[in-house]
Amino acid sequence: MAALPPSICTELATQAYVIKKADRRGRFPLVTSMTLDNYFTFDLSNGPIKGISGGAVAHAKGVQTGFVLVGHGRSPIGRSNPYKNDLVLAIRGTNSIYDTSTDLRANISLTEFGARVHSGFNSLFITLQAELAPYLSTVKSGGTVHCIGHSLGGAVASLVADWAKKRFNCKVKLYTFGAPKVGLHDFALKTTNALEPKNIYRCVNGGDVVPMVPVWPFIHAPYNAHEYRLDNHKLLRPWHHLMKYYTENCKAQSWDGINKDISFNSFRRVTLSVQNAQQVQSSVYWMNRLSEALITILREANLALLNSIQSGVANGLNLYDKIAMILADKSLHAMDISSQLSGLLACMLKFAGYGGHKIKELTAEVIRWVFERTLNMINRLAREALNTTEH
Amino acid sequence: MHLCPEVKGRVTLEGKPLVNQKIERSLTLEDEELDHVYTDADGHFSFVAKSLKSKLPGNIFYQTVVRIIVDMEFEGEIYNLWIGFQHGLKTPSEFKKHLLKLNAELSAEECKHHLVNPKKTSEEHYVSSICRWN
Repeated sequence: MAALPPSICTELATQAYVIKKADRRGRFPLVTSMTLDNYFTFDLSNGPIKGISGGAVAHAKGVQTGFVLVGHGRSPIGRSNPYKNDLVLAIRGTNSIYDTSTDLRANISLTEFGARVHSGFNSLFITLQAELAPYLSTVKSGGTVHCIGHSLGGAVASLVADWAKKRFNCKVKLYTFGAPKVGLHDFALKTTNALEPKNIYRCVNGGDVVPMVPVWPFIHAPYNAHEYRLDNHKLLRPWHHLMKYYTENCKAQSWDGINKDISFNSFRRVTLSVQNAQQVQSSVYWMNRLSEALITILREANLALLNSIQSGVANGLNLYDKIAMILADKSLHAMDISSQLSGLLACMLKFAGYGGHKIKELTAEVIRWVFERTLNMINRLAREALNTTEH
Repeated sequence: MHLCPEVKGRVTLEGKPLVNQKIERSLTLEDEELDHVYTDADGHFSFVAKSLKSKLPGNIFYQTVVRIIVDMEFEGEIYNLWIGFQHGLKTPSEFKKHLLKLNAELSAEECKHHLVNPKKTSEEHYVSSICRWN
């Protein structure tokens, strides 16, 4: 099963945005590039696959908009098309008032396979399932299902890919651009094993903060494995979340021409000192180091707690409060972690814009306050990039 | 933000101007906005530029797509003079250029046109139209 070229994937992720609403004549016009035309046909006579995104209000109103553009491999005469038996599902991201409430509420819900995922992404996915099923159950033998999406669309594409593989036993490839994290460790691990890391093309721009949310214990698939790093930007640039920056950065002819990097690994041992705080910047790099350093401390201080967090047993809104309480209670630690913890908290404060503050005591209140500031900063940065209708 | 630049064109059938023909323009950001004009004695028509004061796209993070359609109905058939998509807040320069010469001969096939900004070749668009630009 051949991967789609990067430029075809960015075009599909972009085209998914134009099929949101019909015109007054009931048409969903689509104008694709000649290259895309050579490979796939898009029949929109019955419209795109529609879904309901957003909170209870949107669901109650039943506000349906186009979400998935479906393409079928073309069988050209006298020419070969490596994708002729394939199906493409291009899913759009947030683009309206109804969509934005889906974004950052990190509530957990279960997939039908029992894995823990973000309930906002899952509830949108569930509204698409009935219409997607007939396509997935009729994929030609030898055919591959290509799931593609930008932003929220990438998160939903991940759920579609997981489902297509497990429920319909399709061959699946997943391509995401600036997608947030979909689920906890169990989902990331299971979907990585089901799809295999080589079939997951998770693309990020260096300045895009959206792939960093929701924060750990949410984690990306492929689990502790590579992402495609499209540029070398180190500092956050919220607008680099826009699809056009992904398109510009993804002109390579093949995936081999794009840098691969493991930016986060939950087994990487990271210890931070108070002195490290001077180097901390508002960057994806530092967000990953802060998470890894926290995981390192938890692993060394209280492995049972780490395991229960990662398996999703301990969660909820007060998860970080719980971590703060346990980190402050020395009797629960297997070893002395106070210098590591001071280092982590100093680095977190610098990240959160409180570089001048000095931490005197490692009480639960202090630790909780630092966590809160840090999480607020990450969420503020992500909202800037995602929450498009507030201004 | 720009929804649509000025549009000028002419409609003919077998080379003869179509007189008093209704030409419709549909612009969709969130909601479809419609207006229409009629061709003159020589088949000419024009639309003024249209912009929008919306709170939505004022934010640069909004994934802006404007669907621009100019079409007409003649003897029960729909003819598309322009189907194009503006991604972002600015009208592509090639859209401005081509929408000023929307010369449609109804007997021509609708086909896809690849528009590339000669000054910035990474700026390329595909539009669908029965018009020809030579």
